[in-house]
Amino acid sequence: MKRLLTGIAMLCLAVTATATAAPLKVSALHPMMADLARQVGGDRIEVFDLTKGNNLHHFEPKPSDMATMRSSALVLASGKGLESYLDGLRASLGKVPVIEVGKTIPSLTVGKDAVYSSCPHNHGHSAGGLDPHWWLGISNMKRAARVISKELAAIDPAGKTTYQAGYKAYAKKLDDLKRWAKSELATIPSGQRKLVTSHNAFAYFAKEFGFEVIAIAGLSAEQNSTPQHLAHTITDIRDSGVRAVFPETNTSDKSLNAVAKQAGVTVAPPLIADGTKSGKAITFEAVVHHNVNTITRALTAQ
Amino acid sequence: MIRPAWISTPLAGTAAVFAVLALLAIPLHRLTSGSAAAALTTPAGDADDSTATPAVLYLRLLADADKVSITTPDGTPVWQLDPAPAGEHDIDATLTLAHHQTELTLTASFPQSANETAVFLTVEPDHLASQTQHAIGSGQITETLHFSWPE
Repeated sequence: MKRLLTGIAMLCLAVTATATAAPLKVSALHPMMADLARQVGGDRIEVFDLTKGNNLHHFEPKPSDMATMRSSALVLASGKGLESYLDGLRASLGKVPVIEVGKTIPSLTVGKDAVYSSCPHNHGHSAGGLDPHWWLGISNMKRAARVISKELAAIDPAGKTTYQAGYKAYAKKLDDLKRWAKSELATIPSGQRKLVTSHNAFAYFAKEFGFEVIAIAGLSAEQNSTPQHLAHTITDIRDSGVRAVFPETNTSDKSLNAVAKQAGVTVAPPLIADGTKSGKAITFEAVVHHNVNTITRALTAQ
Repeated sequence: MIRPAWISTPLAGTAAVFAVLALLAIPLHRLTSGSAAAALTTPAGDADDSTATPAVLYLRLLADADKVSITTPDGTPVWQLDPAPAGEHDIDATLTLAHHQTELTLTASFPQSANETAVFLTVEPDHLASQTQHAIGSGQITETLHFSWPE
């Protein structure tokens, strides 16, 4: 009898241990939010990146995505209007909290903030639009990591120390990353500090590192340019003496190629703004390394 | 009742008008041009447009301090570190912002034998860019740091 009771007690302990060891399920509606969650939560959470390889501006959750979100403790969205379907999603998910990670991060507005040199003549090019691409700023991602750490701790108080430690370690990595990016980009002459890109996604990056943005399309790659805007962009590129323009991994580069040909400048390798087509998990650090190296090489080439 | 003869003279009347205008001038001037300065000096909590804003405070100490405290100018405690080792510290706080401005008083006590050092305070309110101010000194440092953001 004594052995039986000991066995039952051992079994209960094992079951409890297994239950407590089960990671917290977190769904992400953006690959960079998925990466942030992984960096902060480590092994204590299991992250599902639902947008892998999809267009972030037009992602619509499938029934299987809805099932994943319903079984999650938390859903992470980027916010600032990127996920236009959030109200409906919240209503559908009921008690599962949907967190807009970028909500408290300072916003940039097209036409209002000086970093945008695109569309000075209001060619319907997202003027007045709230720029949702905050994740391309390193300082913004540091702020966001803290937001995620707090949200995870609120849902899983037992893991608070883990999440705080995860945030602090990642914040230090991001500080180092910013120092590195600054020193690399400092090699670009001031006259070349213009980012001509396929769509208007790089303003937060540009503001952080002292660039101006000239975008071919609007805040979403589907917001096409008018012929007047393309003509103005070509003139702007010629006048500025900028050497290269940048396509993006997830957008059409047809207009950009035409502009580059007319302006007589090089088309650089693509930058990463809204994720990659392959859908492979990608870290924010890898995105910054890729973009900074690509920009530096293209704008310092003789 | 007998009034002195000069009271009813035109000169006395003009003087009386000027006296009234002079009395009104000071409060009128405060009303029309003193709003920005008043926001700086008025305790933020008393201002009509003041808003309680969640913020993260970051403190960077170049040397070990015995104690560091952050208070509002009226002495309301915001953050106290006791002891306060060299390095970076952070805390969630709620600050009162009036006209997108706030003031915080930083008091740091360093060992008497220590050299001159610096304390950096970064304020990161929700929806606003982070800002850093610093204080330099040795022994006991007390400095009121002003933070403001474009409206």
